[in-house]
Amino acid sequence: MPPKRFTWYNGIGLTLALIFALFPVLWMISTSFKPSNEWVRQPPVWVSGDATVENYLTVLWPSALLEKRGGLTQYTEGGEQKVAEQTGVGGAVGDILNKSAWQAIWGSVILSVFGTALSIIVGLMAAISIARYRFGGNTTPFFILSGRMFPPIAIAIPFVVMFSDVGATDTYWGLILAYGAVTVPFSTWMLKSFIDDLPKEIEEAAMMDGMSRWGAHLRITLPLIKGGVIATTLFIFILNWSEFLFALILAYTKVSTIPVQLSKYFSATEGLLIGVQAALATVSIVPLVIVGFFIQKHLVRGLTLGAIKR
Amino acid sequence: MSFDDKKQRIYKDLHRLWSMHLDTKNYKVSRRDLMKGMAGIGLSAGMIKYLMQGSPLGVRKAWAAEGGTPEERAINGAKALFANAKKKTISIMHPSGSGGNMSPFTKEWKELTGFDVELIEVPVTQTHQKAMQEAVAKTGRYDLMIPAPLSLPELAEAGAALDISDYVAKYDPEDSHGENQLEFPVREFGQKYKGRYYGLYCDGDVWHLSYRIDKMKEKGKAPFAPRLMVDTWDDYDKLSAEMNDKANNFYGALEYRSPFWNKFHWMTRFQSKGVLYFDGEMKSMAASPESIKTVEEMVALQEFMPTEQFTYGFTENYAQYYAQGRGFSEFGWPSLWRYSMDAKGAKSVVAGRDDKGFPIQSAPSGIPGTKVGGETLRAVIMPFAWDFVVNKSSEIPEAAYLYAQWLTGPTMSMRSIPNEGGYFDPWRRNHFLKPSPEFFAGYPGDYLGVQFEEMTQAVPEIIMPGAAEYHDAIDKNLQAAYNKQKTPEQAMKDTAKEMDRITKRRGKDKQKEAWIGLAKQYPEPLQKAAGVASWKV
Repeated sequence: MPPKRFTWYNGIGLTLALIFALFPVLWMISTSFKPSNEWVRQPPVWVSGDATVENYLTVLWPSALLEKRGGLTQYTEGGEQKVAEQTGVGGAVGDILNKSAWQAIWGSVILSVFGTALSIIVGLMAAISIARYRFGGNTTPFFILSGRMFPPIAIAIPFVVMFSDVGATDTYWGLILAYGAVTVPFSTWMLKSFIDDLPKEIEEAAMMDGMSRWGAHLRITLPLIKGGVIATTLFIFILNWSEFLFALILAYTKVSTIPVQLSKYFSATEGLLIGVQAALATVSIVPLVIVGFFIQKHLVRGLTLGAIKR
Repeated sequence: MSFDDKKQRIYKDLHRLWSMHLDTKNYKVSRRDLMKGMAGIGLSAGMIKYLMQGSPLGVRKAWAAEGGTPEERAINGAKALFANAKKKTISIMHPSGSGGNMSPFTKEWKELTGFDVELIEVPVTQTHQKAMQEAVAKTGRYDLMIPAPLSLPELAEAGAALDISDYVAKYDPEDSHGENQLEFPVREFGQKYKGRYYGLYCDGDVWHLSYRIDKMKEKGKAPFAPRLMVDTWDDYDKLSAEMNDKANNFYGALEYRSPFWNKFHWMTRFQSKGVLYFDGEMKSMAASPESIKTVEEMVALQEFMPTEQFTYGFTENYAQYYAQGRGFSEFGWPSLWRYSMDAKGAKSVVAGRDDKGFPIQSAPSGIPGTKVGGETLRAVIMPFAWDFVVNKSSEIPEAAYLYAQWLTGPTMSMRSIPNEGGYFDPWRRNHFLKPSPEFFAGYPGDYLGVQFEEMTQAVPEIIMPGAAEYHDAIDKNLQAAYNKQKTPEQAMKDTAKEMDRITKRRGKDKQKEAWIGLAKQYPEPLQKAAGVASWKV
């Protein structure tokens, strides 16, 4: 077999693919450093000559920005005054500079981590029971998937009604349940495919050697499909990280997420605050990039698991 | 008959009439007696009510809430409700970016009434959906909602918005009388649906035209009137052509041609020809000769506009063209004027003032009109604005209403509107005619004077059930005409067909009732030109 060579046209192709894939990210990062008058300029400003970190300050540290501006003009009982500190409801300044995006960032972290854990645990058990014990017959997997066969908005309103009745709206546990419920079909089906590709004789051999069913699945099946579980986990995590609809309708003030916070950056005179949105979006991809970097080995393995069939 | 007999008989009659067992427990009331008694009580109550209403001394007022101003009545009413209120916090769903108009005053409201206020921010594009969600879920999580007036009919029909007419009568927000009232027709079409109150304005959004008066002077031209750049649309088209200097990156006209935003230009220009969206039989007038001519004029004007108008939304025009000194005139909301006057934050290059602080580069103007029968008709569009709406599922609807009345009262609104971190704009008469210094600072020059005149000539969007569908039909066909995918005639014929289909699907009679109700809230010259007086439900 002749050795593979990295030719110049491979290089060009790879470069073009990289540009295609990374351009939106680079544009987003570039925009996050632009002042407001360069956000939609024609011709476009590729890299700002007047770069600013104000968009990041608005997102992460608005009180510093307020201080820099000398506060916002407010007219309260004592007449005109400059308000430069965050005082919360009852004396706060405007929406945008009133609060940072930290609540939304922490909200996304908590909901995504626990929502993903719930989905993977339930999905794994469902996948094993379906793949190994044909639980519920042939139709069960389709019943599970049916939850994704219609638009999420169709189940959103019933969710609001039910969640309101049990006091689960605007709570982390309520949102975690919702996130878990809507992603379980994905995790079940993905994990089922990995388990299907694993010869069940391996588990049977372990059980013949004295392991219980639980022991065989936890100590034999799970380690063998580890790559698949990690790939599924990352996929579900990304779904939860970018989820908008349920966070919008089931949360009010106590819980917020990055996608919802992104859509709130609006002002009457400047419209959508594109630079601020770009700054928060840039901040929001950092955890995923870091996690992706550390698990890339398992990810590749997981995604190719079962590529060569028995 | 002896005195004792008479006395006995009177006692007996009293027993019979009022069923009062004064001296005997065995007396039985017949059905006839009961009917007589009830009829007597009813008649007495009716008489008392009639006398109270007709009293020249304003006895009726004594039954309403006490207080000399809308704010005082709201405070007194809320204080009285607080002790027995099921909830002690008024939750308000508001569009993102508007919190700065309310949050500085929540502490004050709490000190005055006991009620706390919770602000629940939702993305500005999601207010209608969130309110409709509440109509279905009926959670009562919000006591007040702030949707656009366009949403009122749908929210009323869906049972999300409470009919607040009784509260308005009881507490009197002074929106239709007195020196701080709202102008007709704005006070009608943005707060009422089928003659009943469903909202209270907290924001006014009538359009105006900002233009470069310095550039006009350079060319030796003068505005038609102090508050009018030009009189008619024909004049506007001609002036746009004259001022256009594409070679130097300066454009004669800045109008939206992008999806969603563009239809407002058609609405204002078309209706100034004396024809409204529908006729008295609910037939769409989009395919009328006036409408087709409007679109032809608008397409012709594109020659003097930058190509980005096909993609720019409402603020991109401000930021990239008008405030950058690259356009002669632009239509827009009050925020256009505020933005173009902001040299520091917005870095506007047209914010020049004289030594008295009066703008010298840019000037506000009324919207042009059309000569119809020797008279210039104007149809100044009011896209958006925001209303306080009481949630029908709220546990404390009256307290919620009272907060809305308090914040939108003449004095409170004067304080809340100028705050940074919010975007409510003026709507009451005192905002325009007696602005406080800080209020005036936000709207310098003659802007408030211009806007006050615009208020009296304002026309609504299609504020009735199915509004979004009608708007979408207009929007997408106008887009096709602007992009030359359809001729103006074809585009507007298609628009009319789609609008008529929407009407049919939603029920013609029901739609007609809503439309005629809206049409009767148009400025009188437009009603007269369209013959609205003869329209019957």
